[in-house]
Amino acid sequence: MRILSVVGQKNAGKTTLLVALARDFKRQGRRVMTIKHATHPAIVDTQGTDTWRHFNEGLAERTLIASPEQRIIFERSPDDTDPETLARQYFRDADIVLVEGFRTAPLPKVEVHRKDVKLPLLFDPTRPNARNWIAVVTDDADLRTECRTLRFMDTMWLSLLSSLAWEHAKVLEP
Amino acid sequence: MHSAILAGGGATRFGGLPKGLELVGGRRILDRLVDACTEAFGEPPLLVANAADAVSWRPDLRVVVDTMPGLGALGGIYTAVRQAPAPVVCVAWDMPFVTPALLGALAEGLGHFDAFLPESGGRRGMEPLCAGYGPACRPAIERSLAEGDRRAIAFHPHVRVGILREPAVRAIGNPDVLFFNVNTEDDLRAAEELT
Repeated sequence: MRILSVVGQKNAGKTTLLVALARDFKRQGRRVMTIKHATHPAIVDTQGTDTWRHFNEGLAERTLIASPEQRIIFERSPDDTDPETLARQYFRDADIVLVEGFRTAPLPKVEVHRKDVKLPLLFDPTRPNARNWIAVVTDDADLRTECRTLRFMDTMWLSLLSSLAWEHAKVLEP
Repeated sequence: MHSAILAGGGATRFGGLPKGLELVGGRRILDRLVDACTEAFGEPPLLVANAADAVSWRPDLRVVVDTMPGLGALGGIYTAVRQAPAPVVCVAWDMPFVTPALLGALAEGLGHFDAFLPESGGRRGMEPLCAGYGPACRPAIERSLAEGDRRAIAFHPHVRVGILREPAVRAIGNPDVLFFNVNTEDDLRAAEELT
C-alpha cells in the first residue's frame, strides 16, 4: 500500500486535484482509497434518523448503514489519529491511499496552488519537511520554486503527476 | 512486440525532402532506426510512409500508407497501431539516436499501460513519437479522430498512460541525444557532431 497527501491553501483546489489523481490511478487499474481530514465534526446522518438514534441515543460503539450500493460506518474517534494508522486500519487492500489535508503529517505531498487564491505556497525550502514535497501543481505560469513544478497547461501534466506520485508515495508495509 | 517507423509528415522545415533518408554518421537515419528496432525486437519494423517511392527506400520492409491520410502524427500512430499491429513501439524517422535499450524500455512499459511515453525533460517534455502503444489505443484514437482532435496525445484520457520517467531515460542515455530530431539542415549538421 502506498500513501500520499494532497495539500494546499484553502480553495486552492485540493479536492479537484485529488479527484483527478484518483481517477487516473483508477484508470490504471489501481485500487484507490481516500481519506479526507476534517477539523470539525462530520455531519453525514441527521438527527432523528434510525441510525442517528442507534449511534447517538443507543450510544452504539459503531453503527453501520448497509445498503445495496454502499456502506457507511459511524465510529467514535477517541483521538485525531494520523493518516498512516487510519490507512492501515481501514484500507489494507488499497494500492494507493490519497489523503486530503493532514498538512502536518510526515507524508509525501503534492501541493496544488492557484494564482487567484493569492496566498503563498505551503512549500518552504528552508523547512526540514520540504523534502516531503513531490511536486507543486499550479495554474501560474510565472511561479518559480525549488520544488518540481507542473503546470495545468503542460501537456500530460496529469500523467506525469500520477507517475511521480506513484513513484514517491510512501510505501506502507502491512 | 512490434515496432513501426513513422515516415509521415510534410517535412516543411526540411524543404519537403524525406528527412529519414539523410545520412547521419554515414548511415541513413532510416537504416539506423531499422537496425535499432530489429535489434530490440528480433524482427524488422513496419514502415508507415505515404511517399510514392517509399517501397524503394528499404525493399525488405513492409510499407503501409496512412490508414487515414492527412491526420498528422496521430494518424501515423493510428496506422501503426492498426497495421503493425499493437502492441507497437513507434518512432519518428527523424530521430537518428534512438537506441535498442530505449525501445526495449518502452516495450516493457506496455506490460502495465496502454500508452507508454518517455519523458525527455526538454522543451517538449514528453515524446509521443518515440513511444509504445497497446491495442486499447485503437478505439481511443478513433474516438479522438471522430471528435476532430488530432493532437498526438488526444486519446490519452481514454487509456492508461504511463511514463518512462527522466531518471530511467537518463540511465539509458542523454535525453538530448536520444530524442534529438532532425527538422532543419542545421539540425542535420548538429546531429553529425553528436555521432
